[in-house]
Amino acid sequence: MAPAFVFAEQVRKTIRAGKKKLALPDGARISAAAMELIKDHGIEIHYLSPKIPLVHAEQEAVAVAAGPRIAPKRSPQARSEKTIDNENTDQLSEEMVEEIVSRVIERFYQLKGKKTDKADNGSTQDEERVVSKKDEDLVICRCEEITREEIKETIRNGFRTLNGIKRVTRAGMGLCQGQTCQRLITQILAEELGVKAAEIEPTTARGPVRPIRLAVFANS
Amino acid sequence: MPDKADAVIIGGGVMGCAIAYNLAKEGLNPVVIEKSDIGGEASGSNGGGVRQSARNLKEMPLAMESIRIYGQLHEELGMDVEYVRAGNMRLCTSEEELATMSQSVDNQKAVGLELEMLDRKQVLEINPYVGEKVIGASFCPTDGHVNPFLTTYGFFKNAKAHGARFYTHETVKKIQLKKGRVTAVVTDKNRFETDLVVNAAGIKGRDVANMVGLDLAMRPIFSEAMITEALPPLFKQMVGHAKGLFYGRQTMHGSFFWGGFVGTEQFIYRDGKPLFHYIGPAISRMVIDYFPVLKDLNVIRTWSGLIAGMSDGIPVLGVTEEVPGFIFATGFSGHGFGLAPVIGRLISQLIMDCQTQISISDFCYSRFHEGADRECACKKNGACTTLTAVCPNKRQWLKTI
Repeated sequence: MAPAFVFAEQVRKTIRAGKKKLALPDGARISAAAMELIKDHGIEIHYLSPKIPLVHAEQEAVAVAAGPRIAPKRSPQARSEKTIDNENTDQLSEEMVEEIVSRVIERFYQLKGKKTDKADNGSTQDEERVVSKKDEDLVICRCEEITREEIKETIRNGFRTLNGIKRVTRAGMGLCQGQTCQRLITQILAEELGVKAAEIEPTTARGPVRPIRLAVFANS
Repeated sequence: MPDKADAVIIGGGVMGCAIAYNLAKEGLNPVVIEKSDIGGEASGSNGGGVRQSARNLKEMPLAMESIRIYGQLHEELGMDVEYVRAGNMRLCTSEEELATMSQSVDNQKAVGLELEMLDRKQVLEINPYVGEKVIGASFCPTDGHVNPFLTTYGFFKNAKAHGARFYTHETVKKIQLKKGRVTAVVTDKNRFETDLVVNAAGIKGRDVANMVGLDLAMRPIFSEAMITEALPPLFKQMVGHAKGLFYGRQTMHGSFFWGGFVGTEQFIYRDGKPLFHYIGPAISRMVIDYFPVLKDLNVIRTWSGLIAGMSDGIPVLGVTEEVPGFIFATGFSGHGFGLAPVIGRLISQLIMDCQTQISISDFCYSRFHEGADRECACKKNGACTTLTAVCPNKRQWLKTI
């Protein structure tokens, strides 16, 4: 998770509300002006650890208390499976080995972009129900309401980069700054050019990460 | 097998596209080479101002003609370029600024521009959102603004439709000369045989000039801008600071564009154009000062661009006797976008007929040879005796083939 930024405006709000404590997400960065206010008004800062690592930390603490063995790193999927995790025996039963193998294979196909039989059935049916086949009906950029057809037309007119498509169509220029549509446009571009999506350069990153009020930006 | 081209235009910004469009319309077969995307540099990061006021007086005839062309550009290009002709207001906050401004207004009136000084009451009639501290402004009603992306795209699309060829993501490596004349352009992927090269490379115009042994008194000036979320229409005119410290407009889309300067820009160029943490907030403070109603708007994007700043603040246009076949159209010093349509026409006229409908001799390359005050030698629309030797005269050539 990207660290949150704390600006003077936020601290001022706390002061105005008459509070003496400020709760911040873990790893939050505090602007110089905000830090001054915090010092001047003697405000206490509470760091809230994000939820998931908290649980994880507790588990680890238990594991450490139980013995010298350090809990091994596991994928989140594996962690939820009690059968595999809580067995501390050295030997695995045949069933378990089988399950692990099948899961590894499934993951392997996922990473390679192929689907196993199981996943395939589910998604094609869903797609048919939800996704319109017509390009002009399919809104890719929701903020600016740019359709798949408009994006394809721009590509056919000679724009071969995400930055170029963004400038001409406005896709990705809206309030969310392409957080939703950039991946979709990458896919369309990859399809049209016949390359892999990974080969397409992302748009130039433009600050701020989230919309920020002019008055707040002016004080930062 | 090398490609042949009637002209190679280096730079696929709005200038390159406009020149290519006009040449292709005349029946030539131009090639445009662009190192990134069409409109990828300054044409894709500017404010889209189309103004005559607060220009160098030498540029005034070009700007006036350009505004005339912008008025019917949507018909010519067959698409909406979001051109708004609603005026340009330069806001003053002190008596001193007012005095300087009215002096410059008088100078501009003298060359035929229609503009006036407004007091606070008149300013409020035109734009009721200005802050307390504004005491007056200059106002030029025929100025306006345009969507820079769409304008560039429009010229690009129409140039292509008329047969111009575009090579993007291709970098010019070398311009080959034979007996001093241009013979070919070599890129990292192709080689084009041509007797005519147009330097429309904007910020890289100096590098392109260096390829044929010429140099320009040009340097990059960093410039930062931002865009806010959209609001219903508040005001249509372009607004700016008396000294040009900030400028902005509401786009047709509803969002507000703001750009500005803090004074250190000329000295902070770094490769990759990183944003500088103090410029955005400085622009925001000025915007809130002059337009307090906007203080709760969200800024959603900031970016930077480079201005091809000439030492005397005006572009270099036209042919030079030093390298026959090499034509300048670069160094617009941060106020070129508004000139784009007229530059496209004039450079095309120069290439076809060796003369232009408006004189461009004030912008000749040789003005740098003996100091900034030197007047260009040839006063008659570039078609004087020293230049006929280097004149491409493509219309004559077209008749022979």
